[in-house]
Amino acid sequence: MNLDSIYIIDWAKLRAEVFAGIQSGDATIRKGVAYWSGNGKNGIAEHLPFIEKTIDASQDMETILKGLSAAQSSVAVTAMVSTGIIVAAIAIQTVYLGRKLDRLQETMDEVSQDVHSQNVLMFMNKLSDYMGTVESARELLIDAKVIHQTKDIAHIHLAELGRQRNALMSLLDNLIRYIPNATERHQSLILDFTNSVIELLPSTIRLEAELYDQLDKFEMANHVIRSAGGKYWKLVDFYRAWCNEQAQGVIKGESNVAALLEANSDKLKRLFDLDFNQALLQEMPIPKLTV
Amino acid sequence: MSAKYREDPDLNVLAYADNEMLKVLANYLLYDKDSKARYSEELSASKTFKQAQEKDDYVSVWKYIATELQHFGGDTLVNTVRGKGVGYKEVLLDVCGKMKVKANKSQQTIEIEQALLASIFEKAWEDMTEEERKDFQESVGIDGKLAGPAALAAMIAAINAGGFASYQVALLVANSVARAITGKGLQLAVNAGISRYLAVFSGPVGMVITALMTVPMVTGTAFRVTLPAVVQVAAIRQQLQNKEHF
Repeated sequence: MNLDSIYIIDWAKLRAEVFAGIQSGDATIRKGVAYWSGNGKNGIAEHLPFIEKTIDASQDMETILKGLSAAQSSVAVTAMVSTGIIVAAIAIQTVYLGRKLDRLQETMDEVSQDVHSQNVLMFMNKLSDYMGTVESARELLIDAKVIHQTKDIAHIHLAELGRQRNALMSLLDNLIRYIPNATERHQSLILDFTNSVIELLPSTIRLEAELYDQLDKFEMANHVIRSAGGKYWKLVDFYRAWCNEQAQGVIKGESNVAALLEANSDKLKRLFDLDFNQALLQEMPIPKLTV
Repeated sequence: MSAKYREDPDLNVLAYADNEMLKVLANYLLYDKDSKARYSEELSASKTFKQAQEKDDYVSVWKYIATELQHFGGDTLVNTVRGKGVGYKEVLLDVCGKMKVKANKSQQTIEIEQALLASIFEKAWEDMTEEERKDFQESVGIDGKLAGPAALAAMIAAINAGGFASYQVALLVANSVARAITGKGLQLAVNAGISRYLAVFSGPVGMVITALMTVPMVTGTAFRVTLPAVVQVAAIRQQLQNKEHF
């Protein structure tokens, strides 16, 4: 177990007016603050009340979210459902991402040592660069108290995050296509690794958007969600189609990844149907900061 | 269960099979026409298989079922020496040989299965009335005006080409075989929009199957088991074609 403390919104203590605004879309949450975003109101609606919770970050995000909603009051559960679990997902994803990055690094090292294909090694380098930048961006977001001192660095990270993310996503389909050509052990490593990256990308994209939020560039945050999210779903569709194609190969007796697909069948089905990925890649209402 | 699974790309399809279809396949291997345990079956000796069977979960033990099929396909003496059965294609070709269906090793397994299904279908076709034939032709997208040998040729070509006609015929044949052997058809066939043809097919195919099963066999292979089993595997493959699994 990897226990971590996180702060989540104490929905029960939220002012009724703000609570209703969040549910109707007239208020939006950014940087731990509720802002008015519609109904003719402007500025800060409320500095949100938080409660500390302990989560096991080694669990998958869906389990964590379920655990959190079970621990909340019925008011909170209603709010989480009505806001599409996005707020809770964002709250835990920064911690969650840290654990996942460590695990991904281990798999990456293993793949790099074992697979000597030029394509795969290049992909590992690109991914390593991207994950390094994601980790740096995550550090900026962890402590809200120092945010005002990190704006210059955030600009640099944002430029890098966008460039590296695009490079990585355009390479990922090559890696997927490579799987049938690898040895059985390498196939398993690469598939496991591909699953990890695909599971992680919505969190890294959301992190990028959050960094824009910190700079009050809310339209830009939504733009990243829209643009990178669109590419992400294309990638997921491609991966799903590839898996279906391989399964058809198995059915016809023509595929060499039968055992691999069977071993990963449940994991893949879950991956293609993750609610929190949909939540993380949702655009949010733009706060109205001035009158 | 002493036999080991022989890695077989043609049987990996069972990993995606529907539980009901696997159960029917397992029952062909386990029990004879009178529902008595087969003397030579080894499947029920497996603790894992028995536990899954009690839970009506055949998906988790598809490899055990596949192994048993390979085992039945091989000569008992050969099994003892090899420790494994024979590949599915070999079993299929053996069945085709006894059914006088022209097929050879160089063909794809799915093509051989389609040829086998077409052959059984052809025998059943002869016993159908003109009206039944016309109705069935139209249901699989073949011009109802075609009659006689031309209609049969068009049907055979459609089955061999794969696609919807193969799928429907595969389910109809598998359903008829199941009814002839176990007395019970496939629930899946009822749900596949072909229910009105089930009775039409069951009689003729049932007679064909019964006749084939009563012919004494001189070789050591268990034709009474392998014929329904390959028909069932063929139907499973047709059912899963073009289906999205993820």
